Amino acid sequence: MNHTAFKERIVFTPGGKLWGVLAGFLLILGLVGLFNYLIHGVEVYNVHRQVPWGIQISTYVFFVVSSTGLCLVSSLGHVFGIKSFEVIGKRAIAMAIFTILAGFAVIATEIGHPLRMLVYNIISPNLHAAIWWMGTLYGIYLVCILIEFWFMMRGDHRFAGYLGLAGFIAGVAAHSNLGAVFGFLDARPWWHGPFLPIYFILSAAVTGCAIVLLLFAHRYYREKMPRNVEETMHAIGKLFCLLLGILIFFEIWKVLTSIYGAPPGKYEAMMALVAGPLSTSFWLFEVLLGMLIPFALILFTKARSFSINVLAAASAIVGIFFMRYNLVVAGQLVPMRPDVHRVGPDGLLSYFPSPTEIGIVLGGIGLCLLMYIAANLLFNLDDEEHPSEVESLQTNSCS
Amino acid sequence: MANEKKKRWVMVIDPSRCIDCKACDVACKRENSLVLEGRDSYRNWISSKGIEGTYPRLKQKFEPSQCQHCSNTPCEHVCPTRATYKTRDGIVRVDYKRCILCKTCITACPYDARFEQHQFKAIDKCTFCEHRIYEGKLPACVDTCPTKVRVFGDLNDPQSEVSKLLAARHWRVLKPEVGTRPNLYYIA
Amino acid sequence: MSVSRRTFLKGTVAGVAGLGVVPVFRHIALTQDKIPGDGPVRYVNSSCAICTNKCVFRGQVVNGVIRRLEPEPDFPKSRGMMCARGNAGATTPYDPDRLKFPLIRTGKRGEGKWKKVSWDEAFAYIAEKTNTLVKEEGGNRATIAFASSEGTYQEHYWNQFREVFGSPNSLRHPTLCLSSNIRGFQSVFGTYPNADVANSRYIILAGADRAEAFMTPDTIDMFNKSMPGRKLIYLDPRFTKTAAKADKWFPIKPGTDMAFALAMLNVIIGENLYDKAFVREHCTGFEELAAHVTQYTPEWAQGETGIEASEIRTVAREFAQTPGAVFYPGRRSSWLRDDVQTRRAIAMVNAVTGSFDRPGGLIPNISIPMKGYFYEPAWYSNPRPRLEEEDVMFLNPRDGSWIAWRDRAIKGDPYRIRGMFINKQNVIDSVPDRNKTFELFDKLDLIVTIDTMMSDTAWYSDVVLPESNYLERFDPPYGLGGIEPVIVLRQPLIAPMYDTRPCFDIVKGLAAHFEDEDGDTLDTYFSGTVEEHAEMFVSGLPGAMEMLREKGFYTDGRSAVMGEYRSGKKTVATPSKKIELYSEDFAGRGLDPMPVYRRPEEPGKGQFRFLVGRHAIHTHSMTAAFPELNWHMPENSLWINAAKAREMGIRSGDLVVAQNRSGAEVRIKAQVTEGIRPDCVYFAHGFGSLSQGKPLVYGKGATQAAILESHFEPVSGNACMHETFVEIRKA
Repeated sequence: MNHTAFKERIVFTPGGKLWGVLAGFLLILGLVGLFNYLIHGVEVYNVHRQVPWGIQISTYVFFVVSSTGLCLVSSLGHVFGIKSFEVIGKRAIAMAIFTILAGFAVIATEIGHPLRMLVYNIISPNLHAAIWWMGTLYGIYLVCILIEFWFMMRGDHRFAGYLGLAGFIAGVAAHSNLGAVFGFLDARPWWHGPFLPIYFILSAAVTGCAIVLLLFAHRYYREKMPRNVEETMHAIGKLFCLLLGILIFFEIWKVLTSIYGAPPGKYEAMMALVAGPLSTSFWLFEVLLGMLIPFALILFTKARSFSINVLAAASAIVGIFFMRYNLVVAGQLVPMRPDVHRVGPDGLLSYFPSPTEIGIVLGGIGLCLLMYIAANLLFNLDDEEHPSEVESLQTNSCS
Repeated sequence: MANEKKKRWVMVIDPSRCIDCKACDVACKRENSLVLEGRDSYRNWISSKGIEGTYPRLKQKFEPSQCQHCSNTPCEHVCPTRATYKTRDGIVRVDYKRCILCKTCITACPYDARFEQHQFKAIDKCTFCEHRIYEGKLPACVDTCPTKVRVFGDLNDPQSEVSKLLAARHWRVLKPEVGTRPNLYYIA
Repeated sequence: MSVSRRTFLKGTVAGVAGLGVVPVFRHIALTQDKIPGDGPVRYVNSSCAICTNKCVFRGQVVNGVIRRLEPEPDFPKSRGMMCARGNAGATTPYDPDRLKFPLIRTGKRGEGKWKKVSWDEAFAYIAEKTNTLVKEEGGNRATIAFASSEGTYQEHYWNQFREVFGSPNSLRHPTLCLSSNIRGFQSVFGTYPNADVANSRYIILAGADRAEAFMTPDTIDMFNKSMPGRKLIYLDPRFTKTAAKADKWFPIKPGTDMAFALAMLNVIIGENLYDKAFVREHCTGFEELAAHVTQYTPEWAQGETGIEASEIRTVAREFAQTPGAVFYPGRRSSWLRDDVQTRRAIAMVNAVTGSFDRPGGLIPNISIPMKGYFYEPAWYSNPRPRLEEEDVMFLNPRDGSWIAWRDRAIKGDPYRIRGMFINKQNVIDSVPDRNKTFELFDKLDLIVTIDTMMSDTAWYSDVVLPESNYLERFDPPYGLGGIEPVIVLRQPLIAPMYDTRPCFDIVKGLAAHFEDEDGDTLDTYFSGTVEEHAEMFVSGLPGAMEMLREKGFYTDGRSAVMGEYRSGKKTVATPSKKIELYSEDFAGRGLDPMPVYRRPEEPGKGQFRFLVGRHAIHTHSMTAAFPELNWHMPENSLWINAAKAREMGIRSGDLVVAQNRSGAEVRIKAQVTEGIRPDCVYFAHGFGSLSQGKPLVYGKGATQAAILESHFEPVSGNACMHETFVEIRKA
């Protein structure tokens, strides 16, 4: 297929341009936020002593969950050799790179000293710290998927497979360590325990499926989907639905174990979600948009309608974004000292992101979208059944 | 100092003496030249549930606190760059230049003892006034206290006032259920 | 970073405003180069100036910057402690809101328009104005009044200046403080004694909130649990922090403390629990008192005080039967019109139980003898008496009676007051009924204020003279009487940062611009230096100056010897040389010879009695803008009883209006609390500043001075701070 023609059909359409403008606008918002932060420091963030992690952390989690998820889903084809999933490989891995880069960009504005981190992570590592493993493994992971992507673009599927396996392992390890960053915290019973590392992997897979559906909806918005892709999407849709079902199951038991018998710390955090300050974010976004609507949509259509699948995926992605927010924030709303001045009459702390924080988060999303749009211009992300090295070289020359 | 016997610095607090005058907090801030950056920059505090009960049957309790210098140290465990470390005498310190401000230690601390201090571009917390105690002086919060709520000393020295107090009196620690083994003791 | 924190913050506010995020809290006003950093510590001992206690500290100076004022462990009076305020003092020289050079007003009063002038210009301006006013008043130098406050150790220079200038009108703080207390105890014991708190096993406190209103060493001795099994009985309409620490808290109806004390006397005498030997040997008028108090039964007192008769009986019995029990004299006694008699009743409870001149009881103060400050008096023909000389029975000529004097000054009776020189006092914020103070100010053609910060009084002055900060200043030795008397000194930790001067230099400079009747300039009355005076003050005490320089205080180890009055070695300084339970002197003046209870006026429907009271974070109106103290208490709020607030639909944080009977009102946030009687409201002092020179408290909260009604009790001239009734409504 002629890549130039592809660009005409996908990127330079009115809709495609609109996407570009939207992404650019978001990025500008992010830059304004970043600028404000660089000038004035963390005072422009609403995080504070008692809730030190805010929407930037949750967005980082959202992005790396997405990246891991994309890697997991793409590995079904490239690593585990399920032929029909091979078509999603390049596109998914590309997006895995962009999501993790966007995640890193967002967290770099949150961590006080990102550069210092690079140095001291190496010269003064703490092997007891989940956050060290998370950071290091994500670093390795990023390198793996970058090389994997490079091999893919070269059409070298054997090496891409090896790297994919390495990336898969690093990704799963990194991601469960991210869960452990929360799960190791004795002080916070609602986070503490093995649930989060496992749950993170599961929800990554859900997110991966959803994003793949969205990517292909974008790719084949204006042209007929090839038959093999259509079949893959059908399979992804079913997988998505199955995983959502498991996720709902996980979530139900998380809610019940947090409420039953009112275990101290867990109960208050869960109630903040179920009937407290985060209840809208929980019921409307996390539960309804994030899980029940997509699950029901696909279940009742048996995943046969691609557009319903995509609708479900879009709903899920929005919901999952809030799911991360809820997870990060609810865990901190229970005060360590109940008499701190920020504790409200409900006995909980409060946090709501500042305009700057929201700006940076939107900028991260814009950055991710822009990178993907640019990738569509630069590379041929379609996996063809008989990939041609010549064509991928041509693709490179297009840049 | 290397040959000296290891110390175990602890603080014994008698909250029933506390009159909530905040001298400990201001003395701490001055001794450590802490810039007041907002509501969050403080190393020690006095907890109180306020006036409890219904007029005229009332009570009010005060409980001064700060970093517990835990023997089992959650903030140290989670610090990716070992910016938080324990000295040989058990004082939990932050090496400002290694701190990347990831704030994981803040979420790991069950006592809300840590905070971001822009002045140091790092996480900050109580140091037991380490710069004073090896000169034979007491931590600022201890020496300034009008009613001498806090007693500071070496628990490895059986003759120290803290050893004698803990041997003679009933005491408790804060949040024993989280297993941090604090080195702040409260006379019960 | 070389930019100051303040500029930094301004930038932040401007920059962030666009995004709708404005930092709520102002950074401490320290420039980065004023952070002392690490380095060798130089210690300078000196004494605090932030409240009346004058605690001695070891000032840490690091790299030429004051880092901390740590307690001097050997200073006996403060027992080696430094409170929040004392600690916060360390940053005061670096406060950007300090007065840095002399200012002359250019706009209207209170408009905040000033021009910076040199000291000589300021002095010349003041002298020219003053001389014109005196001339217009026919040469009456009394037309210029002088207000000052204690604690500077240089107030004697101020008094000297007033005296050589030729004005009798001196106004000091005691009639806003404890003069009725002093008068009450003096009439019984011939002195205002201290309580030996450290050795006391049973203490009754009537409104003396020692956990918040610090007095050294009483606060420390009271709460450090060094006396096992001691009982604290506390009477206060508010649940203060002392109440939190007390064994018994009685929310007594305000103004009925005398009824409580009289009922105690009734029980102690009626049940024969009094110290018969002590009364026989050392007291007069017991028979009269015994007969007098039979009417004051605990059952009667229950109706007055709201405290159950059985409780009063128990307290009275326990008090009489516990060796070393004391009914604490307290300090701030400016409550109601009968205050002197209330204090006498309290003194008599101590007297009949022999709680005098014995461990744990009342102990007459002793002091270390210092040489006095002598100067040549100036003689003027036709000197005029003080304005309010006729209005108060026991008037201290140096203290005056603020409210009585102000009433006279407003009326110009018997002569006009045209100018006022004010040193350290924040008249506008500390004298009740601010509207009347403004009325007074409107009659004045010249107001000169010496201060370190732009107080409300300075803000409304014509000339503002900046005094050097207490950490930049050498102040001569100052004697503190007590059970363990000491002499304290103030010496500079750092050189003055700005064009400021100590009081001595200011009055000497001013004096050079004035003449006496003989045409000599007044500075000829001033000789020597502060250092020379300092040496002279303690020249009779070998080694004192050296110790003062090194330690910041001097003691020869003496403390009050107990039993000297009992053994007859010393005599009580009353007219009868006995402890007087019946005062012939009072009888002769037409006063009640023994305390007679008169029911105080009750608040009407919808009214509350407005209470004043201290707390440990701020000293009066002086410290509210200290960044570190402001951090702990950035605003005051009106305490209102929870049940009452529910009735009125008021919730914590609601803005309410408190309006007094003369129509003056303040707007302030409500703080709904269980900790106050339903018939009272309270808010702390020090906020609601009118001066924009104190940005941290400008317009924040409210000031008591705005709604306190102006009443004074005629025996000692003390202002009555609890005679104000207010109505509360939601704003």
